[in-house]
Amino acid sequence: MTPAEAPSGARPSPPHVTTVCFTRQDLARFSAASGDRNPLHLSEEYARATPYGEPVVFGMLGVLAALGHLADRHDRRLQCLSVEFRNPLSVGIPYRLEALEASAERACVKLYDATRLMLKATFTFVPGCENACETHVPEAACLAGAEDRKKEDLPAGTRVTGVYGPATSELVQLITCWGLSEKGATTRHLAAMLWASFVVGMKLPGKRAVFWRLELTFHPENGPQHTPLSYDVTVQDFDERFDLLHSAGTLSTAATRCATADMWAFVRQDSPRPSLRRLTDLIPRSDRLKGKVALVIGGSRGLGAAITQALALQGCAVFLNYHQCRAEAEQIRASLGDTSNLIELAQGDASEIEWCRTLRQRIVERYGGLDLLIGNASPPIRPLSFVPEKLAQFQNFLAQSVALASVPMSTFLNDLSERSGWNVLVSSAFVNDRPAEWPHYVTAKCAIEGLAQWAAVHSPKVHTLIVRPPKLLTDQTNTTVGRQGAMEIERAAAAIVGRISCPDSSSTVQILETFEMNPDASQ
Amino acid sequence: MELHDRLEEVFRQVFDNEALTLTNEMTAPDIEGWDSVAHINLMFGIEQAFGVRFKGNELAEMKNIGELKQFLIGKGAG
Repeated sequence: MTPAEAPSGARPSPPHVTTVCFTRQDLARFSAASGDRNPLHLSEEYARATPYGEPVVFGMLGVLAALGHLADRHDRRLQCLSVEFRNPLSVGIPYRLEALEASAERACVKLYDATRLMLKATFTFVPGCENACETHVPEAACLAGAEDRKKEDLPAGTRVTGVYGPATSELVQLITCWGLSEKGATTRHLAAMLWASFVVGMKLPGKRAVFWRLELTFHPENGPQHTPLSYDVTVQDFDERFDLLHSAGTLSTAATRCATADMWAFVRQDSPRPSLRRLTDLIPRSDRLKGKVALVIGGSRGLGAAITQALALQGCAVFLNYHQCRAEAEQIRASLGDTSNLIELAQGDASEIEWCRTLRQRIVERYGGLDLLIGNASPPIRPLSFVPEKLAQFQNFLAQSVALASVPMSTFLNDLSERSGWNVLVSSAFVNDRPAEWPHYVTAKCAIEGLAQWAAVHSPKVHTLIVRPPKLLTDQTNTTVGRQGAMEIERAAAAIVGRISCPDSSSTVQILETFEMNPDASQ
Repeated sequence: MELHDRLEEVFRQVFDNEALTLTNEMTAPDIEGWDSVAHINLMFGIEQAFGVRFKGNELAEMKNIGELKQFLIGKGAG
């Protein structure tokens, strides 16, 4: 965790503006307390294949951090909580927290990443003295995994019911860590907040959820203290325009309502996978690359996966490098059926020099050299403001991006030269378009293009291809709005492989930025 | 409250900018923070404030704020 101050013990009144930062340990603790085990927050491998690229902080953990930074309210009790989860929070990023306390009855907390609003939580209090985190909420363990409901599984009226209770000792840890006692919220209030996270992340819709909004109303605590809490939640509406699910429900003890909630969450669609059929339509099977050997850096998902398939369809042996997504890498190999023997998986971090050297040895021993190097890997890409406080992230992204291109290139450039092979760098149309929120990405791609240009001059036998695809439909863009206008990856892959299959290609640097299929290349 | 003022209030809430002033000629690139998430927030904010419903991604097809205002007037939201 990490509010800027020490997290436990007697705390001074919170500052108006402070900084919070979340750690993996915070996520684990929140998960243990709430029972929300959605892998988007906990699994590196799972999160890598989502638009976020890395585990996302539980939105409700951000709300707890917000609550913990409010002034103490000994004679108030929390009545309503309204949350807008504007953007996903990441681990290790210092967020600016602004607490605006309009009155003892109303407070609004906003979390910013530089100038970007990430979360807005509005708390409403009423006079009352239930102000203790000592009320008891019985535990009710839920051991099942997150449900995987697609939009077709979520018609209005879909209902889930059950018993809920946060894990007591972990909840106490949360209260201590985030300074949640004396804030007008009882244990039952906190349980209701964790319940909302649990319902969205585990039940409705479950695994595919991206929490968007919450309206939570707390009712006076009249019910028995030692009776387990039960919930009853029903789908109200599924907005097809945005894949947005609206659910509403209650948390009760015996027959007494403790809280009522309206919850909105986006339902993520399946990760886009390259279609072999579509690829063969665009670039029919042939032996044009038989005897050639390729290495695809970042070949398990998205464009890299489609390039891997397209190369194998032309008879090329391919080393498919992946870092974390083993299951996806194996799927791509298996998808090729009879030609899957052309694919060798190469797990590792391509930005590590020793790993690249070891792989080179393996390739040389097996095939004598390399003909095609496809540089397609990128660190997770998130929008970034170009302001001084974000420069560390900017520079880190740049360093990782350049390493992912330069380490394999420096390792294999001589091998490519010996065989008059191809050095293919996947850049982006963004180097021309330069969108406002991608200064790090544009800079990295320009740097990598510069390196490829340099290599072309100093290794003249190597053919160089710089690819500038437009927005592609990949895991990265697989969001409600991101999918709109995105080009299919198969078309880009077919154009790339079509270009490098042409026997009369010149050795000068070529830039591929139009993706209409060349009829000669697809014959 | 005039339609313009109501619309401006929605934009101020969505873009978290109390100083934001709308003009008819404004387009998405003129407003800092108009990304894909903000776009959805804006659509919902306008729907809620004016009791209208956009078809698909109708909002993205509008040329500028002036066109959005005409759309709202056409829907009887003026």
